[in-house]
Amino acid sequence: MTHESELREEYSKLLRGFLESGDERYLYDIENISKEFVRANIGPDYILEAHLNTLNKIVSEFPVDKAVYIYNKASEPLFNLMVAYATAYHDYIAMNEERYLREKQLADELNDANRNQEMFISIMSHDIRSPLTAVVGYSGLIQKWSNDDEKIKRFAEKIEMTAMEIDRMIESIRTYSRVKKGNSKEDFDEIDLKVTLSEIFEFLDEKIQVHGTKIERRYRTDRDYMALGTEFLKNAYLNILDNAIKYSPKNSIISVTLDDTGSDLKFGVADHGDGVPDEMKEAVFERFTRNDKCGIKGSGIGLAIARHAIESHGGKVWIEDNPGGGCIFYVTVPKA
Amino acid sequence: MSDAEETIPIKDEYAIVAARSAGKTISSKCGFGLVDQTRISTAISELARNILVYAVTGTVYIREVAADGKHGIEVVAEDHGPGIVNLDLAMTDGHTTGGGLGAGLPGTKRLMDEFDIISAVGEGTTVTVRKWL
Repeated sequence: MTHESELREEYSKLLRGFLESGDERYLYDIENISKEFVRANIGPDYILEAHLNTLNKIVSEFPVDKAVYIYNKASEPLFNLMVAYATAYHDYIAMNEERYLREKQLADELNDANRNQEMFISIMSHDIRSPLTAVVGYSGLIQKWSNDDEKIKRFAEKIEMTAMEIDRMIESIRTYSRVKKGNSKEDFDEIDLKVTLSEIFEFLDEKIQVHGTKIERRYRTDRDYMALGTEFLKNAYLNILDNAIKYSPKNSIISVTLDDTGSDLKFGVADHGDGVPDEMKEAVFERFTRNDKCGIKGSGIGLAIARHAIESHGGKVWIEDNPGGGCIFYVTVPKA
Repeated sequence: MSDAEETIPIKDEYAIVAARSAGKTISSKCGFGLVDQTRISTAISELARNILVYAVTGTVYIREVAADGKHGIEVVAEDHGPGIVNLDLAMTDGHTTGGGLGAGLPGTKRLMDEFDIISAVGEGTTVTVRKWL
């Protein structure tokens, strides 16, 4: 016998018991069985059918006047059943909804974790491979020039620097993972964006020289632009500026602005490159999307990380067209 | 004014039936119709069952009450069980620790007009519900 027909049989017995004795006990048992109906996912139409079938069978055993009395009396257990059924069903829906929300939240967290992991693997395999190539290359050169102390010293220095670069990358991955987990309070410092920018220009100096880029600072140097930020926010600005230099024609001008008139600090970088078409303005912040241009190095991961970092500081980043050609990257972060 | 009153010690399922029955008798006497009588007896079942499941034994008091010109029925379910550790959670739809179809508490609250719960961990739980005519 299936569970459905068992429950139906059971209900028939209880209904008959109540109609014959009028005992409250049957109503209590009917209340309990109604929960079983909900649990077994048996619909009210099916229960009603079971009720009517049983009732008809019982009624057929009695003369007409008694039959009417039984019919009337049978409304009470049915009503009890339906109230208990509806109450249990209401609980059941609420329980499922809560479970669904909980599962959805877990699934989202898991997806996030997976995406992060993929990103780490990407960084590892793409960005760390190129400095490693340098390490291998210089090691080979040391073996080849094993008699030339001067050369060996220079190559060893290169290897040391490259190793330190790898270390910085690993550190940034760790920071990134912390940023994604939610910045802890101690990671935040008050930073003056004007100072941060100066540090970045110094860091990028060689690249700026090689590219012949002219940096135009369009903000006041006698003023503080204070924000609450982590090392990772600084890296995001670095990344965007690095990007602008990379995508600009040689010997062109890049304008950098800082605006503190609103509630946020707005940073802008305008270049005179080829610009970013509208359909790519969002996509460049996804991983491995690059506004394809031959001869440009990088794994296409920098802007994705930058956006994560900026957003985790409560900020925004987006691209607009530069009226004079090229594009403008904007970054806003809340003031400190 | 309120003369109908019943005290039912809850120690097994038969006692739940007795409490239901008493609830129905008193609510009918108060003048509640069949729909409300069913609501009240379903609520009493839930409260008494909670006692049985969580506290093993307890007491259900059912009485006619009058207040602020209103007239109705009051059910108090009292036990000296473990108490409810997280009241907010117990009042959440679908939450259960007793292996039921979700705690009867939210369902009970919906069936009645007033619902009060006092619970102390290690001391017990008292649930008071009222329905007005």
